[in-house]
Amino acid sequence: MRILIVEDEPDVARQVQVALCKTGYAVDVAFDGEEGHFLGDTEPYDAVVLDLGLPGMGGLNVLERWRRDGHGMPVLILSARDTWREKVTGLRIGADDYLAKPFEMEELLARIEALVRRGAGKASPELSCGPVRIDTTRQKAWVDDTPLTLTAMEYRLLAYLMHHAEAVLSKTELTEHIYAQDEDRDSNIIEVMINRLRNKIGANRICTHRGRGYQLTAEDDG
Amino acid sequence: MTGRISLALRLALSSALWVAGALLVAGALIVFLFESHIERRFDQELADHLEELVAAAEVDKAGHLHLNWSPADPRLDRPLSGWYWQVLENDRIVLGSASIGTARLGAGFAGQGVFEDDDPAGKRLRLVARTIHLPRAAQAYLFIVAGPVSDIENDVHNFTGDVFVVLAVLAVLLVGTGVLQVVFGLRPLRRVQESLSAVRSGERDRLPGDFPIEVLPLVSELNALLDYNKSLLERARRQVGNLAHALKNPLSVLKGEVSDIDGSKGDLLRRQVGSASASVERYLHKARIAGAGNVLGARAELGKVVGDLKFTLETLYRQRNLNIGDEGATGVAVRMDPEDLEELLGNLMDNACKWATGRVRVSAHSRDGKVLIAVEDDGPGIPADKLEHMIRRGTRLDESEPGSGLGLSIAVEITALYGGDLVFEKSSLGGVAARLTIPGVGS
Repeated sequence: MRILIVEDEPDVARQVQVALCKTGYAVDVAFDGEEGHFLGDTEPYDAVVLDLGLPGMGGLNVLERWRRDGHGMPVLILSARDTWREKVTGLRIGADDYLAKPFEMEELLARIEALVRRGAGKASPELSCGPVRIDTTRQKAWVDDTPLTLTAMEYRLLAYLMHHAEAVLSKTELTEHIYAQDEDRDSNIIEVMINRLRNKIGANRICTHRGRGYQLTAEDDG
Repeated sequence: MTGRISLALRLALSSALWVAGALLVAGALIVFLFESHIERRFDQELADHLEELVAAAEVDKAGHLHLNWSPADPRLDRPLSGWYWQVLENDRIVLGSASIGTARLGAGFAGQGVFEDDDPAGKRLRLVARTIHLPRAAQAYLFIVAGPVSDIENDVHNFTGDVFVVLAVLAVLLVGTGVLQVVFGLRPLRRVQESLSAVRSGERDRLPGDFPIEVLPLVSELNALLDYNKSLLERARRQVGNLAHALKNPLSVLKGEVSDIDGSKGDLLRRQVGSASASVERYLHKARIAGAGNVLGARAELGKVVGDLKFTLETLYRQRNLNIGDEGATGVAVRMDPEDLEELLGNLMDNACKWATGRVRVSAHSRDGKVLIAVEDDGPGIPADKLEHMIRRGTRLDESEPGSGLGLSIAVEITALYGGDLVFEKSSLGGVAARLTIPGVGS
């Protein structure tokens, strides 16, 4: 799951970034409206944390342009401005949630988690696919109630697969959603991690569709 | 004291006064002119009679005076009619009209001219006397003709009555048109007054521009004042917004940084940061409230505000799948600054959403110029003493705890600033009903 933070206050941005990374997200940060708009326009994000009082292009402006261009990723507005008028305006323009500063980090994480889940069409924070189960709020994974030990990248990959279970996901899509922009991207790493996941959750869980990508499936005879 | 007399009354009174004064002077002048004219005519009539007598008089060879013909006027024959003539020779009556008999006319006057005297019946007379030398006469005769002054007086009296009636009608007409003039002339001022009260009651936000040039500067100044008032509020709100931005980012960072400090120092820091955040939030919210007195021409459409808040809260509480119903809010306008109304209803509806299990209902209706709004939820409800506490916490802000109570205490404060009323009761849905009474537009 890949998140974009658009926030001009570097300390706030860093805190949110650290917290989100710890929670297993790939995180990109933009410090002004122009950059934020560009990233949201060109990269596939699973959720966006958007400040309103941005230098250059304002947050509402950024959101309006994304929505006009057909980008439907969930957006949470994180703003120091907390009147109902501002909330109404933000949500009317197309935001999915609104959190006022100062905020509790746990609340932000819970809301982001809910947005990401809803973006993928999932209702519960616990996702399961056959015997495989993950708790997105605690970043834990199990196979048949046996806890799994996963690296951060492995968890990110598994979480993305779980959010899109039964769908065939290309290597490019997987790369885009589990790596932040400034992280080294190597599509061969995906193959390596898929193999490691197969070892941990069972080889039958992940099918390879040659030339198209990978599929996490509940069926045993994939 | 005199400063309070209305302009219309001043103008009407002064026009009535000058009309009355002018008509009185005009009436007196007309009557005086008429009187002297009538007197001249009367004297002329007497003189004509006298001329006739002189023409008829002749002295015969014996030296006796006699008339060749009698004057035709029958009044001269009727006894004591007031119309008389006599011819005197050395103060002795030679000839005389039948009407006077043997009494001497104008006994007190010897010379010629016009004078007045009483007749034997006590009637006031006007007399014309002239000394005439007739041919063959040894000496001059004094011809006297008299008529009653009451004839003049009657004429003048009747005329004065007529003049009075005419002038009275004229006075009524003049004062009437004067009043019409005043009403017509002062209509722009009345319109200013009506527009101002429309602004005051929120029916319009500024005065219209089509006023006469005498009133236009006043209207422009009022509009400028209204605009200034609004811009002042907007500026204050912008500053508060900027202050919020400037304070809340560092507070946010601090909150994040102290969240994982262990020990008593961590507790202290967390407590201090928490209390600072709560104060900032509370006072910034208070600073944003415009209040009733600060905004002339305040007006908010209840339907729009409720619709916006319903959409916002349904989005924010999407996971809980709340059903927010609104009844009767469309088309209702209230006399409040829209942003204040948003804060007030937003906090009440947000509170209802927090407690609701599935349903929130917002209903509104107008009564006696007031708008009654109920925000209800189907939550677990709150016991009576807790409800009491909620209200008290609102009215005594400084004792209120930060957090969930803040929204309600702001709601109570906004309501109080608009002279409204907010009570919490048990709802028929099962939870809490917040019943709000605020002034409607036009009240």
